Amino acid sequence: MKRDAEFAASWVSNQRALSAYIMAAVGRFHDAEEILQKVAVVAFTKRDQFDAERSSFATWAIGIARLEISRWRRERGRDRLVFDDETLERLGAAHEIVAGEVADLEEALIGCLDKMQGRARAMLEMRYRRSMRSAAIAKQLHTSQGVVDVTLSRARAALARCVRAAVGWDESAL
Amino acid sequence: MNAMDTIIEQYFDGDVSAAQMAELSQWIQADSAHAERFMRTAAFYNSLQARLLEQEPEATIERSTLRLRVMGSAFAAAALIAMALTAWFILQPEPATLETKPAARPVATLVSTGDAIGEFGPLVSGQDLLPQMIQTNRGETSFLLASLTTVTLHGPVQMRLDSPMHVTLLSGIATFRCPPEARGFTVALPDGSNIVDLGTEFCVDANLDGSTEVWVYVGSTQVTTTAKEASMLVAGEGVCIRDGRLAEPGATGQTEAAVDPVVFTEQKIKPYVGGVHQDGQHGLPTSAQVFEDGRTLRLVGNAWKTVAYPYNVTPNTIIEAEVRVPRLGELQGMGFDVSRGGNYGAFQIFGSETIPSISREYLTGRKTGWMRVSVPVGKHYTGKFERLLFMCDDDVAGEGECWFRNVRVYERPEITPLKETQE
Repeated sequence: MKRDAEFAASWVSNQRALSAYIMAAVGRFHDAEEILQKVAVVAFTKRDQFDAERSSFATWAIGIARLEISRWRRERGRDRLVFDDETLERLGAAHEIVAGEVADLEEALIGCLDKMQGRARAMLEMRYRRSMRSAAIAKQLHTSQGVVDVTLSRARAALARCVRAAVGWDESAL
Repeated sequence: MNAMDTIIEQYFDGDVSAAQMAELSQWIQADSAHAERFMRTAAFYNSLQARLLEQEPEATIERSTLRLRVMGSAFAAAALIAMALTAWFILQPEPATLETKPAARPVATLVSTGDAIGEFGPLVSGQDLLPQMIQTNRGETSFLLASLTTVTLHGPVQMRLDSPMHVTLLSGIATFRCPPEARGFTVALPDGSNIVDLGTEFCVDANLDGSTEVWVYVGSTQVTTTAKEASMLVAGEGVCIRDGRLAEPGATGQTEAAVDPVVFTEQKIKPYVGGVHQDGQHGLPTSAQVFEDGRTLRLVGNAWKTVAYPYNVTPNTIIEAEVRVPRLGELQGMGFDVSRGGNYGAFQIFGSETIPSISREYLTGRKTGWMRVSVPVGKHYTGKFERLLFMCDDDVAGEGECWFRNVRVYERPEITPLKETQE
């Protein structure tokens, strides 16, 4: 029982960074979510194999994630552009450095997003919550696709600026 | 934003090409700082989408000894783990009970607003809206329901948001644009009548006198009254609901004119081509829609339209119309297409823009609903003209909207002077 409680705590504390790693590897949120779900199942099934003395939970979970990403690439490789193994390895190394920053980034982003209002916020909602493409958003809001693309790009840039300011990063970090 | 930033943005938007992917891969491998920046950007996009999805309301699971908040629908894996761990939780010594509390669900997102007020205070653009009463006093308010129906409120409106598929319009003008998946979307009226979308764009004008007009722009709707009268309207048709019964809109309009109203047809309508080509100027949209009754003309955008109507204007000639302006634009008016000596021959009725050659003598304040307007054109010019001119000028945004109906051209009755009598 104690081991299961430790596993749950480790999963919860590493989940966001793990999710970001998968997102970096596959690019699309819903694909990343699908893979994360599979990683969760495998990790829970193999929780007895995790040895805290041999590796960190994050490293162990990233190993599982890489296998699941490889499996996903084999299954979807024909209709998805994917990174090669070298790039994934480089991202894995970057993950170990960035993992500790993800919670701060997320907290800052929540504050920044709450401040964003107006048409830009509405477009972000439509794009990411309702998974609408630019053309559909343009049609819905009686505007052009170009206006939607520019507004979304500016909104993301404004959010990134706000996050950098909140976390204390310079422009090279994000 | 540099070229690599653009590629990264396209990567996380699912629009990256094979060549860009290769370039991105090289960039990541070239420098560990690049890889770290890319990882942070991935975390940014991941958190952004998770956060926006998380705002979909969810049930919270509470226990007496533990509160576990699942981090939104985006983190399905967390939910899965939480479910798997439930086996562990329920084996704890202290008995646990699971209680699920459904939260109120937002039904819409406010896209833009002038001065909308909800039950919980003023509303701001981008805000999620729970079911509630909304009131606007001026300007235009637009929101997107979760059913993807776009609702636009024009001027003073009272509307209750009931659900993503149901609203109640108490008063004012509202336009509804329903995508195919929102088929069945319903607008209820205070008297119990219903307007059901069958895949369409339509306008509902609930007047303060208790009557309501329904106009269909695209597709079709089903209108059912409390008296169980029903009518299916298709694009270009309108109906009035009065005392629970269906009637022809505008049929009861009172006038002193003993002539029939101008009959509009699509064929009779042409763009204005006077000295300045105002219609659709600057590439802005312009459209004219004639409703099936032939008495109602709707202009949208930056529209200057003429209608064939040969008439010999005398000093007693009057043009009369019912006019309403859901979106003000810059200048709305009507007259004969004179097109001579730099004059348009039109008279401004609404709007703040001033054009020296357009008379503002009959300018009036904008009100919600239909207004009767009468212009004695014969006081200003006489002669034989071929076409009437209707203006809905908005050459800045191209978003004006102006309706004309029951347009009548007639001669003022001669007034016989009273003979003086000697007492």
